[in-house]
Amino acid sequence: MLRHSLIAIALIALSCGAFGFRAHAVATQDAEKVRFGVLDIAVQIPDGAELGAYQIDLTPLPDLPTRVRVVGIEGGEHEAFKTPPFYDPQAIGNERVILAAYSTAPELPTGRSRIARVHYEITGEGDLPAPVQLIIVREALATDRDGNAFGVPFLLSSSPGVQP
Amino acid sequence: MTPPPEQPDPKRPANSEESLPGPLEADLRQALRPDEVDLPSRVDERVLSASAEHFASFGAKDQSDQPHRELKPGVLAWITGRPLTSAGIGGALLAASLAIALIVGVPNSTGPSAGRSVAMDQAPPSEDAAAPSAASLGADLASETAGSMEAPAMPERSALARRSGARNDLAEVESADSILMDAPPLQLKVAELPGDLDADGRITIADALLLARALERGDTPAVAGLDLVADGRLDRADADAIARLAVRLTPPTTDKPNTEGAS
Repeated sequence: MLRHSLIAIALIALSCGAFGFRAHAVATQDAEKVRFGVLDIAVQIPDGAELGAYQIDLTPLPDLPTRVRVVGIEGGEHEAFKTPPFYDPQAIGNERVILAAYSTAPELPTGRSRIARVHYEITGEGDLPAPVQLIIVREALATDRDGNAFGVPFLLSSSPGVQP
Repeated sequence: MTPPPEQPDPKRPANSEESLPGPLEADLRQALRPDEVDLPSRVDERVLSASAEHFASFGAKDQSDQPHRELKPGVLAWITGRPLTSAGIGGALLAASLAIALIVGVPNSTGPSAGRSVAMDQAPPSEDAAAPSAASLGADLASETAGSMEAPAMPERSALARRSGARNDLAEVESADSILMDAPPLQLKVAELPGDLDADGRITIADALLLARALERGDTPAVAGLDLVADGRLDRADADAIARLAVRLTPPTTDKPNTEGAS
């Protein structure tokens, strides 16, 4: 009788352990969240200059615990750069993207101007950061209307994202 | 003549030769030194006094003829087997200095300037400029708290100039002729890319803008291979094709750009 009781207790313990392990795995999967955020790219054009073209290479920080994917690209606020910039179609769904645009319009952006917006999907656990905290500028280029490159600061910022 | 057996000295140890029994000692002396002769004691004293005078004069002469301080025997003294003097050490140092001066002072036909020029020639075009810069990385980390980031633009020409400047610094550091002369000479090669109007070795959006501006002015750039869409004419579509080449994530495998995708 005692032997049967011990066997039953052992079976119950094993069942509870297996169930707990399964529950932990499910809970871990449930802990992974998805967040969508935007990254606004602006440029500060020096006084007396106009923006004729730009090119910027955006990539995530190395060794991130979260996954970042490009899910959308928009143009800028100025009429000359309102259409979405050039990008490689392979960048959609990828973590890295190179944006570039040029304009021969008579009126070009001056001063500070938002030139593009990139939508990101961020997947990970815990509190997911905004894209501005994950993306860095790998390389950037800006030129005036004649194609002469000049050094300008590129400004990245993130609007509050949507967390489903 | 056999000497009388000596009386044992009470100050000597009991196990010494002198403590042998008298008959045994007599037999041993007879067997080992049969022709032993006795010398008068004054002869011994004379020999002792002569030797004492000799060694006394030798020591006095040695002290008078040796003004230098005799050094303690060291490793060199142990090696040479002779005590070293300061004059000897000074001479050895002088000889070593002369030898080093002769070796180092020989004029070399491939001086540091030659090494620098070789280093400049060996600087290959690198893709390191595409790596994230520490400045941009640091600016991004700083933006985590500020909520926005400012990253400096890197114009193509100035970036190349910075790269060449870095090579110059490297050349000044690496002026070891033996290292540089052993390496095979490399040459900077500027790739002849279709669409590289500014000839900076890369296709960027600046090339597209240059072509578009030229076409608007009615100019036709005298550069071959600009008809990237292969429609037999140069127009805005070719400028857009250059822009698409500039944003490709993977290196181009064909000369013809992918005209689909972004507008």
